[in-house]
Amino acid sequence: MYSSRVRSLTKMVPSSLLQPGQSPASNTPVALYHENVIKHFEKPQNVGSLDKNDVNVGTGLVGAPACGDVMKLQIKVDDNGKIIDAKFKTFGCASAIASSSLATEWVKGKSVDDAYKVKNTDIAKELCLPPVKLHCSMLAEDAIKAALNDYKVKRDGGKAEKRAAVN
Amino acid sequence: MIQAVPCANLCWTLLGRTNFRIVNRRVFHLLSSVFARENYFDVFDLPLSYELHTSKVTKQYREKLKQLHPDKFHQKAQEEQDYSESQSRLINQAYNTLKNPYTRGLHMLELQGILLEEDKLDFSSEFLTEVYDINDELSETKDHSRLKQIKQQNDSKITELVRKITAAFEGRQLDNAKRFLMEMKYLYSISERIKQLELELGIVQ
Repeated sequence: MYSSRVRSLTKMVPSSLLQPGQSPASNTPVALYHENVIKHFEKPQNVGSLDKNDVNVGTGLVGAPACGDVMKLQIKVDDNGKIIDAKFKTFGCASAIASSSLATEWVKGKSVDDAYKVKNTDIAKELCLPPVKLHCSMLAEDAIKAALNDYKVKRDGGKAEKRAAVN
Repeated sequence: MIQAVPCANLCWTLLGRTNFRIVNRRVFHLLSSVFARENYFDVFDLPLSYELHTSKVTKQYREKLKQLHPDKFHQKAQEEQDYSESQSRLINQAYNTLKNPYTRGLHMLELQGILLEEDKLDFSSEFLTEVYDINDELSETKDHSRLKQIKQQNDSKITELVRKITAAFEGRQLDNAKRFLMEMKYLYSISERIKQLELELGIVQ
């Protein structure tokens, strides 16, 4: 009697609900990141800070008003104009973190002039960013430029001071 | 625009569409009023103003949804069911947009044809540095009382911004409203991070 009752109950359940593939959990949309993003997000390269008061260090701090992300990217340049170190700290989504991680990897070893040529489109391409996340790569490019500009201003200011001291 | 015209107590016609039989006149008025609206403030018969009594809107929202509940429509024609469903969706969208001070502001700007994503505003480095420093501290702190302090400071900054945004909209200074809304987004992300941290540290509200 009990078993027949159970059977009749299971008959009442629409068969579509009994198929494991149709469970609500598997239908829930999730943000799928490309493996390159995940690689940088799980093991970000060059996280940290450099001394912003060092004349050889340029600091770029940028924000994305549409999503509230902030990104700090710093470069350390040697006397020959080569970037010998780069660090970042980003408070934002996985794509923003991956973009800045990649940006620090790419500028390291480059000259200041070459670093200006790093483009957001290259970052987006490498990370396979979807259109809604393109602004993350733009943010990373802005951060590189801001850091390079800051370094240049500091360096030129330093030279002017030296000239003033000589004169 | 499609206009709704009542033809009898229990029946109404949508111009250019099929006849729908409807539960009662009250629902008819509700449906027709929602249908003809074009912005979310109109959905709740509110003036286009940033200042909003959330509790009143919430009451109205529940009232409207109750009347559009699918249970009241499951024996009706498919068209009526679809209609109640799309109206419920609109009311939900309108309510969720208006109750949040940030999305409410965005919606007001949108109605003026201003979209936030389109252009980029440069923030003073002081503002960004401040936001960065708070985020940086949040990423390291485990101290409950310090977290509470940061949260209180952030909340009061948001309250202050709401006041500024209200004044900006009242004075029709849309550029200012936009700038303050963008600042608000940063403070909201800080709030989100604080909530996340509270979860991780097991702080119960």
